Amino acid sequence: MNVNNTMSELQGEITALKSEASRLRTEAGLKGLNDQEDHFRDLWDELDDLEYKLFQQQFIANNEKLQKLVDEVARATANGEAVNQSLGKIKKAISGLRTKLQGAGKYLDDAKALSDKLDELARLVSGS
Amino acid sequence: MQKVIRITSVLTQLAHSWPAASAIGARKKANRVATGIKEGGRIRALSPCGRSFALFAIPLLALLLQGCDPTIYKKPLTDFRDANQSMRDAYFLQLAVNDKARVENSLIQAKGSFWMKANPTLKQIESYSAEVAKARQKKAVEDEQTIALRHLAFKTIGTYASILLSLASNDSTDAISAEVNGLVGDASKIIEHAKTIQKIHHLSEEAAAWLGPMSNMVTALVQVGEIVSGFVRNRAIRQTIMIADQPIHELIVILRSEAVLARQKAIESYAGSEQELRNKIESFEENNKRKDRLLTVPVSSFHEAAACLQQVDATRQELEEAESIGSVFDAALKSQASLVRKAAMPSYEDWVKQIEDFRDRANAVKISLQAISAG
Repeated sequence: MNVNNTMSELQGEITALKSEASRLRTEAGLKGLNDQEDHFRDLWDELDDLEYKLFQQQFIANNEKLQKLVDEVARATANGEAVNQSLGKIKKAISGLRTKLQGAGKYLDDAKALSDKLDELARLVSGS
Repeated sequence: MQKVIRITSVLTQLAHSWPAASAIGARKKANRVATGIKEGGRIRALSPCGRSFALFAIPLLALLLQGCDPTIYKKPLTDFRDANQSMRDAYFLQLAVNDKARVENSLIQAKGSFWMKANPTLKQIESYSAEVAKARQKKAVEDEQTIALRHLAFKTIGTYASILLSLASNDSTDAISAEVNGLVGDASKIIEHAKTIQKIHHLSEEAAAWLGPMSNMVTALVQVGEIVSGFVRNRAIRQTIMIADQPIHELIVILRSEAVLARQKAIESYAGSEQELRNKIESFEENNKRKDRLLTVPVSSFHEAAACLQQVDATRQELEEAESIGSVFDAALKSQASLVRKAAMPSYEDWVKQIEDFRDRANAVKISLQAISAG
């Protein structure tokens, strides 16, 4: 059994039924049969829901396959992402080294201040 | 739908615009490396071992680089990423058209009933309002999980392109090079600073003595790093494209079939609405001709129905005449196929073999040197 043909046949039947429900609704309306009109309105609405459930089903039928493919692509790109991350880590590591080196510069400032103090003390002690 | 036509046109152009001069970047890089070696007698500042390395290894790597410059993928990948964006927009735009088609079809039912009533009661007005409100809530595909999965599918294709594009860009390598150069610069500043401190002056002079050659070596190493990074990135791009090809292709094919199905459904829906309106107008006319009629359909209703018919007819024609949405997806498929062809270029394999040979030789040299230094 061809699923596409079955879908198409079902769709054709629903369309014909919707058209008939609409015609009957108009006829009931023109005759002032309000209850009948409401009945055919509800019937048309149910058929419309059925039609779009059939349409939606053709998307839902792909869900499992799509999810599987999405997972496959994610796995396939994992290595490339890892390379990108590695390059990022290298940059971060060198940045860290630079930060530490810049921190060392601050200690040199303190060392220079201390050195200047010692020189000054030495001059005082020697009386020069 | 004009957007779809524009997208299709752009995508078709993109699918045929492969960068013929993509090796320009590689040549520039090779020249930069060569210039870096010759500049300012830097080679003289290197040790004999470093000099040999710089003289032979760097030009060799630079030559190899011309065959594996990842930036050659930048343009086609940018095209592919943009194509995916257009494809995503077209897909959800099509679903929005389907929503509109369904709402329109349901509204015609509500309006058709209301047009018959010359003097509607309050109850009939309320019933009409409720029917209109319900019609406006309708969607062609209501299942949220199904819609979310389509968003995820396009996002996944987008991520695939973004990762590859990131690998094809020199941004990360340039950032590393900048950091390494900055590191040497920072060290120089600190040594200059240390020179001003009398107590450690002699130490700073010793440090400065090795900083000069080191900075020259760093220049060479940065260039080697760029070349190695290029090779690693190129290999990652190639592997990712080859492994992801099948699922990417299948994803696009499925999404294409859904978009085509949706387009067909929207056309059928508008054609159905058109037929409904014609039937209603015909019924109203027949009713008004009957002498035993219970009610008379007002003239204003005929005008409203005619205007509605004109609008529905125009929309259906517009949909039918618009470029097929399938072509947007076909362009994306072509674009992906071109990426695969590029990644599987036979000349590329030659480069890979040469690089592997180079790696083996470099290892052999390293082992020999280790043996010498230990002896």
